Amino acid sequence: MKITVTEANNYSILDLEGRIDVTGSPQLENEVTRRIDAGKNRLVFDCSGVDYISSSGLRVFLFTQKVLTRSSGKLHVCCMKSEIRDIFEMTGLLGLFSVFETREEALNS
Amino acid sequence: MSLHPQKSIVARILFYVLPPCVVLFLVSLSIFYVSSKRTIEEMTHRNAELITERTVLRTEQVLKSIEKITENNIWLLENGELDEADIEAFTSRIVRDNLEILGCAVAYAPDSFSDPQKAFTRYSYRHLGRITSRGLDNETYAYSLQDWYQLPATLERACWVEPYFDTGGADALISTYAVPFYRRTNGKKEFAGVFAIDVSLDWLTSIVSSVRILDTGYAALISRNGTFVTHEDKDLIMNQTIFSYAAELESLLLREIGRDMQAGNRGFATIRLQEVDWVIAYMPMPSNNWILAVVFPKAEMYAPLRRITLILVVLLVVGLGLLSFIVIRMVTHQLAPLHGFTETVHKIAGGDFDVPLPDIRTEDEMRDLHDSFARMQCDLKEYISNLQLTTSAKEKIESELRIAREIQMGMIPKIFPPFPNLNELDLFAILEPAKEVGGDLYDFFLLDESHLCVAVGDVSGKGVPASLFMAVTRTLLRSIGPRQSSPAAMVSVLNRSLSQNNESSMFVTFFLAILDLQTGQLKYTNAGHNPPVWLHAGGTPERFDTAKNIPVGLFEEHAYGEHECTLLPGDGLFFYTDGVTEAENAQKELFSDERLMQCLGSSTDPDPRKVIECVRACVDTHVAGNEQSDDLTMLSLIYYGNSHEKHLQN
Repeated sequence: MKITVTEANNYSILDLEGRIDVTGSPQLENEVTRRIDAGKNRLVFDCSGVDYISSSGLRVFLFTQKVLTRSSGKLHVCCMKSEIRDIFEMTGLLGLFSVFETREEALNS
Repeated sequence: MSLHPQKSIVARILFYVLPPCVVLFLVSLSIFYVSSKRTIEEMTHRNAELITERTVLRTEQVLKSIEKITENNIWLLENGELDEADIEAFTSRIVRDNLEILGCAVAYAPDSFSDPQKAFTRYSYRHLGRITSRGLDNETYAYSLQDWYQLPATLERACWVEPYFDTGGADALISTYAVPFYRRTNGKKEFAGVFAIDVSLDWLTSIVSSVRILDTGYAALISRNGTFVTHEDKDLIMNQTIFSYAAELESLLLREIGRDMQAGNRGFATIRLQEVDWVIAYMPMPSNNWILAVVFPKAEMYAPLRRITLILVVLLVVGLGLLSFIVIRMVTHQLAPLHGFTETVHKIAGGDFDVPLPDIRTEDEMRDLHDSFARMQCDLKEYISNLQLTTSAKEKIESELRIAREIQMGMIPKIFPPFPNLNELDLFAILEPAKEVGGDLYDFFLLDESHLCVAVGDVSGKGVPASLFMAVTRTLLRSIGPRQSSPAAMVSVLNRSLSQNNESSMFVTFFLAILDLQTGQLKYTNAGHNPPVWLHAGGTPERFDTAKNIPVGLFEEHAYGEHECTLLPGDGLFFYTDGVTEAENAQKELFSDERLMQCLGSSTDPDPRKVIECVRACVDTHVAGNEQSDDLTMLSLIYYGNSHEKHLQN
């Protein structure tokens, strides 16, 4: 998968593209860990380019959420395609995340 | 050593060096041959001309001396008042004084002697060592009709008469030099007679015969008429003329040459006679217009050239042989270490990394090759030893993983049918990890005589971490099971245990159901797992529409709820993990819930083993050999109702 990071509105935006599967998950986890270690605790996952997410990927989302909550940071997830949203919904995890339709909404709340 | 140009360096070098050498040599040889041939031709022609000129000069000297004698004595005949005795004394004296003269004749014209009444002739000649004189005029010999008399009388000048072979006394080839003499009467010049001298031509023959050119070249003398006066072939002398000879040999060219000779020209000609090419140089003699010809076979002219050419060709062959020998020796010697390297490589390839390299003493490309080989040998040794280490480490891990797999597989029930004594239901399940060990799990066990607990779960991730988490989950479940009677309580306890100290946020999607075998009542809790499928007896399969709970292992205090429904006898349940619905083909297309439902709907046999085999076949058809990417778990059960009802049904 491909991760592009931009800074805006005091958020680090991670533009996720491709498949967050067994090989993509450690990549995302590394990127997130690097951001948090650099003192960033306000992150946005832009999922507009995500085609697939496996349970390993869900684990990284949950891990990020957990760590940021502990350090009173924020994780906003936005722009999920319907099939990705379905996976979150089916596993009952959708309610655990702050999910937004657009990037603007994610940045402004 | 093969000499095929593709197969050895030596052969290739020879292949490229020898032909240019040969071509160069042949070109030089040709130039040498052509220019030498021309030089030899010029020189031989010049030589032939010189010989001809010299021979002509030598014969001229003798002829001139004869002519001198007549000039010295003719005045006596022209001015003296001579009687018969005086004339006989005169002719005898001339014969006596000049050894080269065989005979001498004076013949007066019929009416011009001092006694006009008679024609007077007198001939003195050498015979048997004595000099004899006689008259020439008799009945059988009309002197006035002879050539020697007629020619000078008619031409009014001295001339050499055609030679003839005297068989009378001299037995020699004879030619006559005849001079007309005149008398003055009343200041008027009148023909008086002919003064003739017979000369042997032996001296001339010996001069001409002594001429030699090349090996078999010779000279020939031809009279004005074309008669052969001297020639190598004695049969031709006086018997043939050049024209009769040309006719005999049917050579037009020879006849042309003969005509050119008669015309008094000098010349040079090449002619083919009797299968041999001859060169002829000819030149007229000024005194008598006879022709001297020098003749030699053309081939002889080139004999020395042929000899030298032969020597050169032999030298070429020897030289090329020597060159080839040196090239072969030198290249073979220079490349000798290569054979050593080849052997070394074979040994290294065979596993002997310590084989010594060939000893190179020169500081050239071979040294570079040697150093490269040494480096390669060293690197290879190190690489192989590293490889051996990693391989053994890998093998160790693999063997450990194999054992781990056996342990993991040992943790889930795998004996089917699991409850042979239980008539109320039948059950079948499979679990196929994508790697050696996996994070899926299923389990089922009886809580009491009439309650069956069934669970299916999927740990996030795969491999060793997932498998450890799966083992923990399964162990906890078995320890919790007997102490709790509701699914929600069991899942909550499980969640609490797993959430504690779960730093890595590993979680398990989990579906747990408890089936009352007597009534068919099913209580269940879904913790974020794929909803199972209700296989209605004789109806369309239906997915459980369960309320969403989060997976277990995330939040310690999460309260899980539960639901319930009632299975009718003959109803079945199909549990699975996302390994089924997310099985991918090469085009990255998922098997999907839709295909699963379609597959289950098409399955006619409700037997759990058959249901699973059917889904398995559908999945296999879909992925079409693509590598399995996720753990794959299926559990299917069928509820027959309590034993009494089942019996009634049957």
